[in-house]
Amino acid sequence: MVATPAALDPINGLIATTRLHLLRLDAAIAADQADAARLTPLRDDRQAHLTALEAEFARVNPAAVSSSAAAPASTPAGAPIVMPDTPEAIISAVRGDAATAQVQFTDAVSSASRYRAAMFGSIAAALASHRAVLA
Amino acid sequence: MTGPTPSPSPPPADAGAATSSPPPDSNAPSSSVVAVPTTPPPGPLSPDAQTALQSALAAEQAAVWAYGLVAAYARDQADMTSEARSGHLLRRDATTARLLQGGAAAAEPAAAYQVSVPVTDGGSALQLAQDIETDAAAAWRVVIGSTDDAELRGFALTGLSDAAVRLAMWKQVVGASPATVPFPGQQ
Repeated sequence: MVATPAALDPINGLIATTRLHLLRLDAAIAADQADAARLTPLRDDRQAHLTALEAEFARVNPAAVSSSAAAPASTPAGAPIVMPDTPEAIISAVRGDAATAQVQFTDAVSSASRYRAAMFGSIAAALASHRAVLA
Repeated sequence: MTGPTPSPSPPPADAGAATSSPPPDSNAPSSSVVAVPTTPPPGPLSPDAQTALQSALAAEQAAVWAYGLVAAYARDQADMTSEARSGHLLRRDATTARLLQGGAAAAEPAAAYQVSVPVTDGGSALQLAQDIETDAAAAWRVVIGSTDDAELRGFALTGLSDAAVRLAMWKQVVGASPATVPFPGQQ
């Protein structure tokens, strides 16, 4: 049996989405101080998701992680994240991110290993609750 | 309320996906008319899935009963309580049907259940409501991790998501912060 290359591990897409949404939540909290108390716990949830997903990637792809650990740490580059102008639009954007991610994690549940399916399903359910508290 | 069986442990690191995508079908017609995919009928349940689904059924049966208790004390949240109870009732019946379709036994509900907190007022009733959803979420998460059947995983994910949303709603009612949990159903 040929192992899947680490670069093709489907968890990579979920990690990328989660990392992006975490950055967008940071930007939302900075831009919308009035809603910071509501958004910060959601940001903490997404950080926990990212940590768990990265740990799962490392567990299945130890060689890929050890080689990347040898490389110097870098800060994500690119244009700064700009959120909408009004609090209502910011909340709507964050809710949209949660919906997008919920679909992605739900889709990932069907073909994953049992352990991953339970993890992805739990994250999808958390995202459903994020949408609910932002409604 | 009794807790469900624990979540699965991480498998060996080389564990891959439970299923793989089918190869491209070179004989597929080139017609622009595409067949609408249909959901296959539920198949027999594996022993693991059967056990997990029976635990989920027990959690749903307990939820239906316990929301009757919540309703008696959380009268300011009558609509939420009624909606939650109806949701669990539908899910209980769907779970019973799924077990029977899979060739497994579906136990009858008990006459009464031991609850996690003595319910004596609105506050304890709202705590029980949160415990009900926590238990239901845990039971459905175990089902997802107990089967390779995509249809059953989807069915269980709906139960898990519904419970996570209701739990967050109850936490908001009592003013708890945070109102959400990062991994619903994880014990």
